[in-house]
Amino acid sequence: MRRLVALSVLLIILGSVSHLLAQSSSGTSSTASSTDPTTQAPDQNTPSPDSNAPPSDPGSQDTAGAQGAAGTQGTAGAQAAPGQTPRPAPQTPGVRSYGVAIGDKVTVGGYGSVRYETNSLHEPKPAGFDFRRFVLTTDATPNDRLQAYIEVEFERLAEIEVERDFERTGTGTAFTEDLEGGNGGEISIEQMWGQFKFGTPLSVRFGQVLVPLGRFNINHDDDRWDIPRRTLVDRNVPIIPVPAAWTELGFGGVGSLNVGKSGQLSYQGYVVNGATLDFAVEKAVESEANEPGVIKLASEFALGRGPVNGVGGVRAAGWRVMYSPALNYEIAVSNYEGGYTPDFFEPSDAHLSSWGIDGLFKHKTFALEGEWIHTHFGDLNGVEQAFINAVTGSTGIAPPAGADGTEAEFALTNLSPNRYGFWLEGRYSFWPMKWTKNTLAKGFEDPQLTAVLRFERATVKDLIDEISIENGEISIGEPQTLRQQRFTIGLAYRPIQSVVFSVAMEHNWRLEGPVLLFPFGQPSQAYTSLLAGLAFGF
Amino acid sequence: MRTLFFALVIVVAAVVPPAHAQQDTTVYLTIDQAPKSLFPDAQIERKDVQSTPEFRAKLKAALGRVTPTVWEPEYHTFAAKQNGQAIGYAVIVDEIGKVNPFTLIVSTTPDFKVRDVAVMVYREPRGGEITQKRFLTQYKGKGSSDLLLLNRDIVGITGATLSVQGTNRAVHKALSVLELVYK
Repeated sequence: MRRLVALSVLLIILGSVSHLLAQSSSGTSSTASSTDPTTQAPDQNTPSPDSNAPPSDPGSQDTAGAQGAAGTQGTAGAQAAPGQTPRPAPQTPGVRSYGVAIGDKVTVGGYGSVRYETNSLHEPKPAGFDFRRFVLTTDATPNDRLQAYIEVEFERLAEIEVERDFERTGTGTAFTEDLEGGNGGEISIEQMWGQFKFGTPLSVRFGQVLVPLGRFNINHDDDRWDIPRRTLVDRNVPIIPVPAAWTELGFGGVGSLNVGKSGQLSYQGYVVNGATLDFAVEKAVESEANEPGVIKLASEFALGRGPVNGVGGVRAAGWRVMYSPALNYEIAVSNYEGGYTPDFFEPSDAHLSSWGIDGLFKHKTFALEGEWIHTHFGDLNGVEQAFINAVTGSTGIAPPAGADGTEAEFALTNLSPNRYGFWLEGRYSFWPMKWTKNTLAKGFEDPQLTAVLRFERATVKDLIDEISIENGEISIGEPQTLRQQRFTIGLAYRPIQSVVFSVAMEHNWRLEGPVLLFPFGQPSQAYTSLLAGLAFGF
Repeated sequence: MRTLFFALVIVVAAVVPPAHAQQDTTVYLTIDQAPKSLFPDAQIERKDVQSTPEFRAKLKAALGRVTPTVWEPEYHTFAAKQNGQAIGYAVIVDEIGKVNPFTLIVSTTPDFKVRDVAVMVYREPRGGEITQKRFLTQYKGKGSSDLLLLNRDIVGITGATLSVQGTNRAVHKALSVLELVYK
């Protein structure tokens, strides 16, 4: 701790000196701040704006936005005094560029997506219309340096209905509670953070943030993508520790620096509560021919996003550094490190480590984008034993079967020491010039068709599907390595940038192991899916 | 982890310059400075063109599929000359990015190809990347017959789509105005 204090004092002195030097080198002029050599920012001695220049009349602009709040005038604004002109702020990672302005401080936006799927799998056959999600966003900027951002997601959720009732009978009272909802429905806070622009290359962010591992998780909005299904690596298997959109509660910094003439270095880094093995209690009522019904309760442990109730501690950190040498190239490295076991697991210090490399290349109408992720779960044997100890009270003796008609199960699922995978997507955008007056183009300034190819592969090494403790028995599945590959070809139509109608055909191969990774447990060697989707943003 | 957290906070406090330094990073030009910065050694003649109904109709026809979000009541145009020879033209235009209009000056060569684009005023809290040279450079050499479309001949910026589209419209409008005035 003493060393830390000494280091801190040294850093404070260095920081103050560097700031003083920066001030003295720039004097009172702001010319050093210009990002374009052709644009000389005015110094303090600049005479008052040209009084001979007739100002534009903002009221004559045809758009409501241009006629909006004070300070939004058009050309006349170019003559404003330096101090009255807002500073151009860099785009903020995680924040959508669309939205409907409510006043000049708050923007409300969102996106939604639906999909139709049919495939060649046998029972159970996941096919039909799928309400993927609807996300509402609110972006508030009360001040140039302050920002709050919220994303609320409704996923596969058509309704939640709760009914409570009681009925008095001659011999007593019956209390009933009925909870109804769609299968797989979810409401979640995807992002909820406040940001303070601390200095030129740094803003600090506090709240529920997207974990910056790979490029998909931080760019997961459905209207950004031309294939109506997320990747194996980021969602379906997944290879990242928690499926996208993976968010965690924490604190950290974001920012970017110009490097050379056209380069840019961007970063995000957070300390977070961290993903953890958590339990969910599942209720089931089972029937069997010629047997009484069975009421079953299962407590299933699986890795999920970290707690948000202030318990469990700050146990993880994630960061991503992206270098863009020019506008059409990006390459990034990302990492997540942290504990992943709950406190009542002993040992509770098993470590999770995940690394990612991702990139983007654009050339005219062609774009190539990809991501590779490797995740390592440390000390799995210790975690297995800790789970058994927790359930059996360290006796190693499984709880016996309960009364007739009831069953209790404890399970730890989806354990694998190593998992890795990648996806690579190529896109080619076009619009035939002779189609400019047809139905698909009429009324749109820049409609686009995009042909898209995606190749992806995911490997889960030595997977133990389930450790189960039930009816007096402890059973541990055999480790098995599963590997799946998917190739997708698709076509997307965008009348405007934020709306995409897409069709895609995907073919999946099981390369290793007895079952598929997605849908998990299917024994098919290969299958083909046909997808059609709509994603819209506003 | 606690030590790491405190260390992070202290490093932030120590190394990052205070935020008021950011006020100096404003990128903009006044109407006087803009043409001079684009044609530093030239004689500049300013010509303000009223956007009469006839002019707007011609401009609308010239723009074709491009629909501006702002129709200026007049256009401040500039002709740059050296030794009596025209070396280029420039015009100031506005377009809306997400909510508010931003102001650009676009200069061209005598044959009306983009020579330079500079942001004079940017009023949005987002999308400021369009002010960067690495983005604006790609407009050099473009003419009014070029597409100037996102993901075609213009590389976009993730998270700044609306500002990029606004810049495309602004440059298109500027080229058309200059051709109508000086061609």
